[in-house]
Amino acid sequence: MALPALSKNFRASFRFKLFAIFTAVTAVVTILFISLFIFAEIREQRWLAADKVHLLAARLADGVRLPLYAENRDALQRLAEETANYPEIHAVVITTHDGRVLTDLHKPTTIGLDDLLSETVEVRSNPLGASPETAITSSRHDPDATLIGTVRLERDTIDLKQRIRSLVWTSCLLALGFWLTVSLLSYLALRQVTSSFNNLMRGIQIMRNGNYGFRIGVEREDEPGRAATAINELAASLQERDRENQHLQEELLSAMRLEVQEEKKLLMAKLIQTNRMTSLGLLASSMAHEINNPNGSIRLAGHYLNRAWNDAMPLLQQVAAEEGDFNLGGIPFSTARDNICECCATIDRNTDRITHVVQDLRSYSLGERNELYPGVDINQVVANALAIIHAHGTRTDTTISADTSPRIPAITANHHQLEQVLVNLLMNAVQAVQNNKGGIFVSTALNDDEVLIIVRDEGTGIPPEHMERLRDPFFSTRIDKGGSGLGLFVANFIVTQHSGKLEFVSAPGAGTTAIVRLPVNPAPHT
Amino acid sequence: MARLTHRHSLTTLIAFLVLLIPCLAQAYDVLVIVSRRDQAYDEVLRGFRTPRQFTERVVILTDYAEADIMRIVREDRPGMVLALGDSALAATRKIRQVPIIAVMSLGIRDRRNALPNLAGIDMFASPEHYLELFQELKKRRVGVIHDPAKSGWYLRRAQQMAHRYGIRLVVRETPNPRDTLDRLASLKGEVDALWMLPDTTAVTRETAEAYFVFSQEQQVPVVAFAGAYLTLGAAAVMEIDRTELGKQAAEMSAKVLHGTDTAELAIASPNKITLKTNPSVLKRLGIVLLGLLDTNLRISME
Repeated sequence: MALPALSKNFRASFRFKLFAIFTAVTAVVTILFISLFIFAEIREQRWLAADKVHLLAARLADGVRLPLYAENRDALQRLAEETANYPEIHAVVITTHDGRVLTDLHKPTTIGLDDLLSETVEVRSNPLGASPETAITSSRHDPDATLIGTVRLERDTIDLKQRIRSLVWTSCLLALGFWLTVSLLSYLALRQVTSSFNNLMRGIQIMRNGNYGFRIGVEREDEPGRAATAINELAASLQERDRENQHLQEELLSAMRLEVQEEKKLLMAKLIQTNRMTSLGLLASSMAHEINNPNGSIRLAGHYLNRAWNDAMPLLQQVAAEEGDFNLGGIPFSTARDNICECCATIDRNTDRITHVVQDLRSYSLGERNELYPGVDINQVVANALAIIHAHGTRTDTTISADTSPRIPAITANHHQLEQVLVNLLMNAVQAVQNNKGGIFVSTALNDDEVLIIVRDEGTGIPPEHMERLRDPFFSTRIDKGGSGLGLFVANFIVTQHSGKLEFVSAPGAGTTAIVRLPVNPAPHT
Repeated sequence: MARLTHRHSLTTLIAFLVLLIPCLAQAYDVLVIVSRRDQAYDEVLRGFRTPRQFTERVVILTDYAEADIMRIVREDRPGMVLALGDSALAATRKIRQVPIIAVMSLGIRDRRNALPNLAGIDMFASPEHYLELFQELKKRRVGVIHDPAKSGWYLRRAQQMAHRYGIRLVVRETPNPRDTLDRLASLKGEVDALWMLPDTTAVTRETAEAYFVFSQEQQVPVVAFAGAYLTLGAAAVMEIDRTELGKQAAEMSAKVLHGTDTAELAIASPNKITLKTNPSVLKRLGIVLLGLLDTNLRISME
């Protein structure tokens, strides 16, 4: 681990915080107490110095009482010199009560006034001394002792300041030593106390990394020890739960893998079907091209044959009238005359029909022309769809009955898309009734502003569990029989594009009714 | 008519009172003037009242801001005035017509010349008592410091008697209290004992201590005149018995009230003296008092 990270972890540790708090508090308390001690000592030193000066002055005042009263300057000088022998005494001044200085003793020095401590004491008569007047009455009635003079001592404080400096240094060193000792002892104590916490935290960190098999060593039965025990139990529980989860996850993965494979199979089948339909569309388009050319030739030939027959008809009728009836193509002219006209009409009609079928097949396969156009005749759409279904040739014995309403107005729609919708619905209906030989009924109706196209079959019906999924893509019960599962999905998409609705009503065994609701004037679809 | 009767009655009453007040002023014998409230003066008064019962009025000077003694004397017209203490004596300095007896005063003899109506008892015990004591103490050279103006008469009597007791008085005169210390210094090595007189020049509050410092330095006993000095270091004192002093004053007052002229009465000395000693000082100085010195002297140890 990098040094910064180690440092960060150490700073964030419980041990460091406790140690920091303890050392800080100890430092503050030590500083506080040592400051108080120093201030008290300074005051004490100053007080002692002042008291000593006062005592010296008082002693001198007591000693000079009689010489001062007698104004004996020699005695006063001697006493003042005795007092001045003290090294710290800077000056001794003795004055009478009326202010006359009798003794003024100053040591030669350069001390400033700020470094001097001055004390003045009054010299009064002995309080026990009694005048004859008071002595004869043995009275305590005695006024205050008489003021004889004053004694002033001046003391230099240089030594006092040196002592205070020494005191401060000594105190600070002692405080520092005390603080360091206490901090060291506290660190050792904290290290002992917090070792359990560190073990606990290391174990928790290992478990946090996912190793629930790790167990924290319990050294003591203290709080961290009990916490370690609880965490070990929790880890065991988590490990068991983890194993269960892993097992469940594996089972889930297996199930999902199987399901994905099934889905993949279905998807591939649908893709194959879709590809097949695409190929079929291309084949249909190719076939349409190949059919259109001969069909056009047949149609032209039919037209030519019809015009030629109409031109030959008067001549042939004249021959028949003149020479009698004759056979033409193995049948009498009188019969053949009508049959040939009818054959020409049949050629023209069927070639036209082939043209339309091919054209529709091509359009259907290319999927083009999805714009909406006004004036679409719904009944014509139904007829065209039925024609396609008839052309599809899969209805076998199924009867498709159409009942179109003449009141249906022309709507705005895409003719070919609606045909596709109807073809899909009819194809589903045909497939539904193939087995039980039921009927299919197509009808149109007008309901307010809606045009309804109803396709009802008498088939097997739709199971309820499939009703919700009818419009889903690739949902088909006939995937294995070539169903793509896209028919109703595309039909619902187209109807929705027309602002309409595609509804189903069905019950198992009761057939199915598909209802296409189309607005007469659909709103522009976004 | 009734108004005239009332006015006559009022005039009569005023006249009666004017005549009565002088008669009331003559109601007591002695006007006692006390310097201040003090137990010592009470003791004197108690002694004064013991042998005889005088009618009296007591005026304590310290009870008044400024007592007009002259007016009291003029109005009360007492038979005599008893002055206790120097302040009381000073308050009677203008009284001329009324006899004055002064006790507990150090300045009686000073005022005697100026006040012929003054008599009394001074505070000087007879020199014989002191001399007997010094003889008993076996102290032959006795130092005395005094102001001749205040205690010269007493010292002359003492010197006259000293020869009889074999004692030599070493006298130093001091007209100024400040010179006392020098005089004391001059006695160093010259004396065996020191005699402290009730001399207000030789002994002051400031210089009293010097006597006892001298005593300690020279190892000589100090004999003083008042018990207050025992606590300062006096070896012995000749203290006047204040009750007896009062009785002595009462006898003197009786004579005055019976018509004896004060001029005929000498300034008397106190009759009864008590000897008090400080055993610690005596022991330190190696002094042993063997016996009674005089029949009038009572010894007490304090």
